[in-house]
Amino acid sequence: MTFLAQDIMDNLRSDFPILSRSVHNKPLVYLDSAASSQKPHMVIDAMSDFMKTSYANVHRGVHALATESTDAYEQARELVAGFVGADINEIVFTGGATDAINMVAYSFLAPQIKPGDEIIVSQIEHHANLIPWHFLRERHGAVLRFVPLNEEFGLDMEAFEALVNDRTVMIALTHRSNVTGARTDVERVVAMAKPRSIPVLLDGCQGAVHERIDVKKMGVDFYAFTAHKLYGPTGIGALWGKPDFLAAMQPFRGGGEMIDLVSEDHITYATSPRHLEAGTPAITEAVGFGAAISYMQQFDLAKLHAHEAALTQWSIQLMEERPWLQHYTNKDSSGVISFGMDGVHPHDLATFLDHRGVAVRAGHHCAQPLMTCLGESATTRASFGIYTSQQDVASLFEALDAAQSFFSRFR
Amino acid sequence: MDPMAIYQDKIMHHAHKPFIGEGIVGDGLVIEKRNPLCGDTVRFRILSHELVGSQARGCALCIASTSIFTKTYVEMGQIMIKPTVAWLESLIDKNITDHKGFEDDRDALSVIANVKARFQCVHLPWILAKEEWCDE
Repeated sequence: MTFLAQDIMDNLRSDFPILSRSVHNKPLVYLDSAASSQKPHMVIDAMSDFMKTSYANVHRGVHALATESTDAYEQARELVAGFVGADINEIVFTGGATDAINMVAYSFLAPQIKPGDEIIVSQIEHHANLIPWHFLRERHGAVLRFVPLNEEFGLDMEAFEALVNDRTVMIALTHRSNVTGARTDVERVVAMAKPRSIPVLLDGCQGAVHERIDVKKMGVDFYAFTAHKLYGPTGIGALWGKPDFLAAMQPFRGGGEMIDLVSEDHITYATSPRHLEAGTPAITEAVGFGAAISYMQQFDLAKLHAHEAALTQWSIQLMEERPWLQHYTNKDSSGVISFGMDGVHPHDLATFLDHRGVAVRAGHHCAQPLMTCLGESATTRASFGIYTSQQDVASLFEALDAAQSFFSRFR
Repeated sequence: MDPMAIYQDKIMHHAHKPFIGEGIVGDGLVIEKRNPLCGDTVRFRILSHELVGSQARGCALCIASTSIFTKTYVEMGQIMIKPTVAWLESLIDKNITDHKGFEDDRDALSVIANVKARFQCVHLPWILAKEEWCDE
């Protein structure tokens, strides 16, 4: 296990002002980063400074502020593109990963789908990578095929291979599960998809946080991710797509920015990817997204990812030492652990932990098919970011021990 | 107030030994309400427009609240539903401070005032009852 050195961790944590606050008179232990990460000064200041000094609407304006604002917005796109190994014209700014996946469903697949066409998803998907495809099932007669969960809380890849056939028109899988932490074997997915020319979309909400992404090396066709889990603001995310796929997408939102010429009986669209970005974009949020990328790039990302993986492996050990905890965590998880406590509902457990300053998430984590597979209505999830310390994990398990003691009084 | 007071003995007693009346298996109609946020589910069995039994699946607060509802219904009938729902809803409005208490197990539910995020857990059986017996 390779944890970050204490002095590095202390410095890094000092970048995140919220981590110095207390909750219920206890120091905050923030273990809900998979839901949304906290924000460093660099992001907060970049957004604030931009609004104070350079804000104006982007593109088309000829005044100085419009130029500065456009430069900042497009610079953010360049940073985001670089972060995932893409070119700048392959990045569409979206409202988030959910928006990005909906965009692929509506603009890419819906115009060409036929009744009976099959879309492969999995039982561990977040609803963001499930409901858009359900819409195509409901409205276009598509058939959803689910890769089953295996005993290690990951995907049964042999079953996946058996699902791929001539009717498959899309494979849409999570890169890393937001509940079990399982990482999809992308190489194996692509190896099945490419010979059949089946497009592959990865939901990278968690994947982009916990490993270095190079979309071109991965060989997928679409990669959706969001800023707010990457230490950036809410309200913005990105869709990476292969240029010819993006160019072929029919916009499902029309308005300003995304057009070339408009007359009473005809429109032509702006060049890709701008034809997919209708209306005034989330300009300040894009600047914040870029600042978040710049913030992370100050560090050796491999060391940060190794630290998150080490915390996760240590947490799995600590869970397995406690027979009253059942865990639903893949052995290769990084950044996410899920568990339940004997006889204690996850919401009661999360409330108990909250009163000790430990912020975790309880519920179905927007993954109801997975909950059904696990035979649970809810689990408790602790999730880590680059600022999560060994002390945070120790505090979690101290609080869990106290919860076990507290609730066992009533059994 | 200690926030952990939400898990006071009265609540935990109802959570671990819930009063379910005659339960939900038997004659009559079973109605159900589910909290989509967490999957907690409350069921009532109704015969001749009266509650016969209940079942709650979920967290301690939901089970306790359903148990307290069922016990209170058996003791007082439908007349207590509207004022109790109004009282519960007032608990999350900080302007309401003049409640004197019912002087029965329902008062234990006042703990929810300290943990707004869990209000739906307590509210679920009462809102199901209001929809069944009070709404036009």
